[in-house]
Amino acid sequence: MKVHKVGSWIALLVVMTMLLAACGTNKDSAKNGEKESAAKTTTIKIMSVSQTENPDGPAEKEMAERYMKLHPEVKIEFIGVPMNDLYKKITAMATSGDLPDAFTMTPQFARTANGMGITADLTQLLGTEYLKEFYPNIIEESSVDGKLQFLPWNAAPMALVYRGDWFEQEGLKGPENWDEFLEAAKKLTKDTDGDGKADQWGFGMIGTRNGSGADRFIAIMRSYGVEELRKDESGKWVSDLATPEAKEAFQFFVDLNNKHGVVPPGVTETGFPEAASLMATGKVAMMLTGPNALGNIVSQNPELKGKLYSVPVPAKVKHTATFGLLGYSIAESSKNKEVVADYLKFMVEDENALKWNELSGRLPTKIEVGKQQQLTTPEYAGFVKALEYAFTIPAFDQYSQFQDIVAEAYQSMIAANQSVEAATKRAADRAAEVIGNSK
Amino acid sequence: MLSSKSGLKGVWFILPAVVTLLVLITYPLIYGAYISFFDTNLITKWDFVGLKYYVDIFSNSEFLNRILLTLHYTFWVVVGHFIIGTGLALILNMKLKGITVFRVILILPWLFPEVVVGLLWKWLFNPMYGLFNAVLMNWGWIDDPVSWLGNEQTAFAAVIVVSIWKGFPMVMMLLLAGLQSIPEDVYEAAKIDGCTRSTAFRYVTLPALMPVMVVTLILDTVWWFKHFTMIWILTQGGPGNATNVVSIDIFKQAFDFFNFGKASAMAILVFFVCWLMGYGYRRLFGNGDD
Repeated sequence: MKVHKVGSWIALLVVMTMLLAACGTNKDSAKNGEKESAAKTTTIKIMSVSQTENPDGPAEKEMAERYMKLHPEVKIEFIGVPMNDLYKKITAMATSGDLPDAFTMTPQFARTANGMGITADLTQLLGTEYLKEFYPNIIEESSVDGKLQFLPWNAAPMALVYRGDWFEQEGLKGPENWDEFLEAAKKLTKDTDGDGKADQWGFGMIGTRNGSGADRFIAIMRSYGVEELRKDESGKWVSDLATPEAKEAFQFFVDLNNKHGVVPPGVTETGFPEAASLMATGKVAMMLTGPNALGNIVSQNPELKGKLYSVPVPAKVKHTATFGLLGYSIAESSKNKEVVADYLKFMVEDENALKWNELSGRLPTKIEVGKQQQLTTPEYAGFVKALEYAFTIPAFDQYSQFQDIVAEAYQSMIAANQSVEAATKRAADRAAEVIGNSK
Repeated sequence: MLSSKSGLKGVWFILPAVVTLLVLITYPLIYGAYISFFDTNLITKWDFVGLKYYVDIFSNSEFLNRILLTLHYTFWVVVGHFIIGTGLALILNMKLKGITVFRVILILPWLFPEVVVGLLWKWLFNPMYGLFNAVLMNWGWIDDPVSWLGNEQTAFAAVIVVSIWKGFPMVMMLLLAGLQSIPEDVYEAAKIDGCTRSTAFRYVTLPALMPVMVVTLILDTVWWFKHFTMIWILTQGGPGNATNVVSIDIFKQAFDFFNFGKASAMAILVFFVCWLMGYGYRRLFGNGDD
């Protein structure tokens, strides 16, 4: 009996082994087929901040899919990363030698990235003739020491976005200066449901302690003629943070919350996503932002299409704006530089750039596309004009510290009622220390 | 006495643990200390600066202020954990009906990832849509919404409350395990000797629990002294510097300002602070087993 059973088991095992071997053969041949096609396919990995935003993320994916249809031998994979985590992620991946083929880059970080030696020289890769198709000041802003750090995909100059319909109802016009701005903000801060408490505010102030909040305040401060960092006549780095004009700018910004009450509660917790949501839900009338906010707000509330107008950042002594440039660097370590460069060129082609502008609101960077675009509508007019006032980020390795310095100052004044004297003194001291350490 | 052959066997047994410790603990520690002597971007720039960052740190009061703030934060969090954790451990140690359900519910905060806890509480504190403001305004306790995380005083308290909520289950579970390891016979003997419930707690429970308490105290203190995630999510160290504990400062130095050398020097000093705290506790309470 036992012998019989053992025989049955052996027979069963033999049959199963044969079956598995047959399956293995099929799998092997399938794997071989995959390997063959994989050998022909070039996969490029792109780290993108757009992937974490809407409608930008799906639109960028759709563009990549169109490219892949035209180039079946290329496969594009995205790694999404929020803007506020971008520099940390790049640094961490660079130190572990794990950078993707391309990654989002800004002028603020370009100098640091260049110092790390992680960015390929796009001037060489793309050729100077090709780069002549772009606005020269944009190419300059995207370069470090004559080496193009990233292909500028789009510009998002900062301007003031406001509810055109509410302004018209109140008989207001787009504010030209900060006095008109404050007047409008006060008029548009109101109690709409009659419960005795404000539920609509004039200004969606972004007061977080990060680049998002700091860049906005720096634009305001520059409109007061104050530069957080500049070179003096002798070529030395200096900061204007302790000047009376700087104090005036800080005081004005903080008073919007502490004195005039024209911003919603929780200003130090309000970042860009929160402010955009407040605008989309009809809680605030104005916000300082790039044109990308238009796409974001309208995607949250389509009823606002055509109701959002823009003007340049109001002036104290002058209008001002950041370029808000965003583009892609190609990693020096990438083995597919030519393929990535070709895809980047595809992204800024006329048709794609215009489509991207229409969807995300960001402005194109090529001269010919700029001529073709329909940006004379009230939504975009302010942004287009703002480009005239855009300033260049100081070419200083530790520039990100200045963002933290000003953000610490306004938060201390808002949250701890620190005096403008104390806050600006600390800001100036920190600035001097950073400048001193850079020598 | 072990023969040389069995001694060699012993080496093989401990080798995996030794290698793991060397790779995961010793190497990062030494590398961190090494970085602290350089002005570096970790890739192309390695300028030796010696003790410059340590001198910088000690030559202004910034770092000391951060350490004091962190100690302040850690003190209240650990006190909160021990009050709530001990109280609940004593209750859960009673033979009450349905106690298992409460054990499961009370362990939940510890099971949630820190990121989830941070976001959850951030929404609860939200001045526009948060539950706390809605409830307090409904009850008429406040007239206008409060920005709990946007005010210097309330932000620090809010961060402590969230940290206590997140961390008390660990203390509770460790102390509960300690309580359950005390034999019933000892209590019976104490009762025969005339101990009341409170004197039994004083003379039986507390001494028997001391080893667990000391270990828990060291673990909890060091853990929360180094804490980063939830504070970062809730306030990012703000508003101003109200919740800018040392871990956040180190993170900013490294990943916002790219001062990896200085960040490493600060981290090495934090390591020594934590070591000193552990040493202090052991000196103060003994090792808990004598």
